[in-house]
Amino acid sequence: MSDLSIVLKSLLSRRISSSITVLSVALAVALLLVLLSLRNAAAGSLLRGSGNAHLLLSADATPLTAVLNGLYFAGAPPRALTLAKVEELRSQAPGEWWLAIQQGDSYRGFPTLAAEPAILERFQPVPGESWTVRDGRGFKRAEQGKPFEAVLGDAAARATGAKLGDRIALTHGSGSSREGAGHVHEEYAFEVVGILAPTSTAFDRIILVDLEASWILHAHDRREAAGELAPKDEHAHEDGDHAHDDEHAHDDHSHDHDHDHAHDHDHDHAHAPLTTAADLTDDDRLVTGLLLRLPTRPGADAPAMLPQVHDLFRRDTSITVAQPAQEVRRLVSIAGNVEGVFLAMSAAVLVSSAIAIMLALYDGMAARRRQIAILRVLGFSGARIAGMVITESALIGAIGSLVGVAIGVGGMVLGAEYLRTRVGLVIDASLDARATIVVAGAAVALAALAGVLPAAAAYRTAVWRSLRPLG
Amino acid sequence: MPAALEFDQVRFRHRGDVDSAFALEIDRFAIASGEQVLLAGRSGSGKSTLLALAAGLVEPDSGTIRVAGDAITSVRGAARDRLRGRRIGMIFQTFHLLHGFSALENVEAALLAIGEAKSLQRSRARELLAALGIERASATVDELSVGQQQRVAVARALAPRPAIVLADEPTASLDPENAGAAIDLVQSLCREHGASLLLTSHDPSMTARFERVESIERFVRGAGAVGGATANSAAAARSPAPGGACE
Repeated sequence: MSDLSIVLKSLLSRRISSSITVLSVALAVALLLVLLSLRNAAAGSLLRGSGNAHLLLSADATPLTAVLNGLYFAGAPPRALTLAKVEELRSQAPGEWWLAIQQGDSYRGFPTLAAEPAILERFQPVPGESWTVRDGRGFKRAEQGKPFEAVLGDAAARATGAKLGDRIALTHGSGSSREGAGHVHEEYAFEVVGILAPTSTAFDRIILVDLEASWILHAHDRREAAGELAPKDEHAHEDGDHAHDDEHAHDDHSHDHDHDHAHDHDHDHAHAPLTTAADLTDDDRLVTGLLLRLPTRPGADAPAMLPQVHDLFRRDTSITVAQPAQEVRRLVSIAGNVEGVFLAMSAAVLVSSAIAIMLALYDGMAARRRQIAILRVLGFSGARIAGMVITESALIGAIGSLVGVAIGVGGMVLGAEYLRTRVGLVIDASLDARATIVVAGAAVALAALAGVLPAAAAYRTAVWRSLRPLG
Repeated sequence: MPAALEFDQVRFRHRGDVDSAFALEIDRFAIASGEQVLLAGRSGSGKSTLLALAAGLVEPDSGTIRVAGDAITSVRGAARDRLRGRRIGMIFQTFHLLHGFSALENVEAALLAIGEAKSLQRSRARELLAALGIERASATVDELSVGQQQRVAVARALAPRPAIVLADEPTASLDPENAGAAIDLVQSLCREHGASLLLTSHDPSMTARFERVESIERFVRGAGAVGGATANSAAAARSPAPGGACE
């Protein structure tokens, strides 16, 4: 027998009351842990996924929206830059590299990022960490007579179930075609040629396609709307090998336009000629963003010329220029103020749990007075019994913390899933180790503190009076 | 050998009663090592208060109380609790066992209090309970009969090998036949373990079982200085000084 076994007996003798107080601590700990971990993970994920471009030039309204749209795929940029403007911008500053990107389409709700194939070599979604193609290979420039190619981010591939060799049709806009939210570019199927390794950034959700292929898609829509695509006879379909598939077309559903069209087509433009690169005009060659990496000395965080180049582009009122890392830090700082309120509320819940422990123990003191008096008669000192009460209180905090961590783990998985599906933020779903230690430690310390008052009552127990009636 | 219990010029009055006369005035009262004394008196006459004073659970206004030679009135706090745990065993009318604890744990608790090693706690507790015929040592005390509970209480009191056992009306809730058996048990076990016994009772039939009987009346102010002399005071007088001396 030990003092601890007496403490455990005491806890077990008040199962219901102990369970309720443990649960209240557990919920407070879980709430705090999830909030802290989500905050850290979200901030970390945001900062991590800002890429290695020093500047993002776009036609968005503000630098922050430019970054959120261009690098976090929060929405499709509302305006675009012409290729002429892009060339003008490129001529103004030296770049280690420039990458033109276009957004606006999606596949089953996952955003497309149309870019030059060099994006896989030059751009790093996480600074210092290049893309890794886990299955297949990178995409190539659209070639006449061959299907367009797509490379899927890890989360996009997992969620859609798309595999190498599958053919997918993109939807205009960010909605899912299955919900009827956007027009499906059925004329052009993209073959999945690669799947990227996870990066724990928003880039895990993207469908990477060739910029020119994207231009062709939209040029085709424009030409179709303008009535430029008069149906031809079946022998005129020699301009491309682009699969003519449904929205999630697989090989067994696809058919090429260079075979015999003996069977029926049930859509309007079944016999329309497909648009090719040769049909593109300057109005079709639009980009929604231009990523720029300036020459940087090895070992330096940022190039010395960044402020000057940033200032130079800021003077151009027709564009918005953003430093991605800086904008993300600003966003995290803004969000931090709101989180502070939630954290304060969670801390208040934890404190109220401690008060609940104190009340439960203090109330229990009246019933336990006799037991305390017996222990005193046996030779337990008042201080020792007070220590046992504090231990009991701390134990409630410790058990509550353990249960809270378990609930928090589940909460993080749900929270991460929510952020991924609703906000598009890919975060690490594990609890923040430091936050876990701090919160669990604080819960135990608070619980122990809550035991001080009941312990003082135990210490002051009038032994002889508590053992009456006597002779 | 020092007296198992010794009161010297002890004065006590109840708290909040500062203007009144002392409730108890004990010039000298001692119990020799191994001696068994019955403290007789009607209910509410102060017998329990005297036991509480002896156990260091109530503070006297003045005077000294020694247990096996150590002045319990001279130490405070944890030191006094330790002294009580090691030198005094207590048995109560309602046993005051720890509910929810097994018979074994109740006895072990008394050994834990004095810092006995865990392995020794268990073996000593088992040995005592077995000697008292408690076979279901792992059963909680609530599952035991009243008689078994009383034996557990006696085992707990004797576990730390005390110098003296203070028994406060241990037979008050028993019928005469069981009361007699219980007293026999307590007396024989105290004798066996070399512990003195101070037992309080308001039952006049108990006097015949003790060689020395003291009346609480002689320590109560206003009750008459010699009014406490009992039928067995002659036996008390035979006790060796100073242990058995009563003034």
